Amino acid sequence: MDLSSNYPILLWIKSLPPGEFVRSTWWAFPTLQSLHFCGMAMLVGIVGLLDLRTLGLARSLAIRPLHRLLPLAWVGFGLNLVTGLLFFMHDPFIYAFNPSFRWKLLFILLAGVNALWFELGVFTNLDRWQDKIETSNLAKVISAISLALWIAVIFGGRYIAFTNSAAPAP
Amino acid sequence: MFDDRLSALQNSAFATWIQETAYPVVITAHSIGLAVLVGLLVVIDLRVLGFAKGAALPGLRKVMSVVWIGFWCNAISGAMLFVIDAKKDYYSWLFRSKLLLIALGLIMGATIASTVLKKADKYASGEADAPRQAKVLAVISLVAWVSAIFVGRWLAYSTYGDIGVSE
Repeated sequence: MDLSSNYPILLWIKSLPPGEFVRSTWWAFPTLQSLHFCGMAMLVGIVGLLDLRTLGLARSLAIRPLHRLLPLAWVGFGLNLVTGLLFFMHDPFIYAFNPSFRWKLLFILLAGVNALWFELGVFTNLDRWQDKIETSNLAKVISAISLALWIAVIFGGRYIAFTNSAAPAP
Repeated sequence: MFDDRLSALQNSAFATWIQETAYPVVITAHSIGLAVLVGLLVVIDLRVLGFAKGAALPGLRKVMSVVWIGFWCNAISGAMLFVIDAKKDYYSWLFRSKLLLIALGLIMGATIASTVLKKADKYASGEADAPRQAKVLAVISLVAWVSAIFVGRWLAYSTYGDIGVSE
């Protein structure tokens, strides 16, 4: 049963030019997906290395310079936000009610809060982070959570295609 | 003859098991492996190109062990994805290009790892600049991995009809 008429906002989003554009070309969707994977590799690669170093990999690496790569991780995030919005606009009904998609958004949000915890709670005395230091247990816990959350984000994204997208019956 | 073997492979009980049971986990593993393999190599390439000065190049050598974990994760999950579409993949120029691009990216990464990342004394300073040749390899590496991702995505969207073989 098509319940889309019960959701005028989603129908409106779907009718907007970006969504129309993605639906009307055969190449837009695979291209956007490729960019989404590139952005993911950049974001998760940079954040993941920072986490792995905090957990004790490659102790001879100074952490602070690695931390200076974060603006590039934000570039990856921005790329994935834009491509992700375009996926959503191409057909909101695939995503809006999909549990995997909702979990994915929640995990991204939690990863953001967790990163904020790292920035404000651990990564404070910058001079200390300049050297090849041993990190605190709290920093390690936060980094382990970060890795787990990004893996969960990837799971959520890939499982969208295997989860029921149907809108709930009124 | 060879076609028969490819058909037998993709019609095997193992292929059916992947298709009906393991598929979501396998493609998720392939994505996580991608993030590890490509994501970490991108960071190494960026440092070679002059980003994140302060991080000593030899310090990044330990990262290569995790890069290889990502590689094996994707070699295994990729082989499983090949099994369920053996005939399509084998005859697809997208698949063949992907393998070549991965080989190119790995050779660039391994070369950087065994040269600039290995010279602990010469590049001990965090501010040390990588030589021009290494920067060329890093650019080739970035182009190869981005291309491999694009080709891999397009392969997923190509059908047996696109490739011109029967299932």
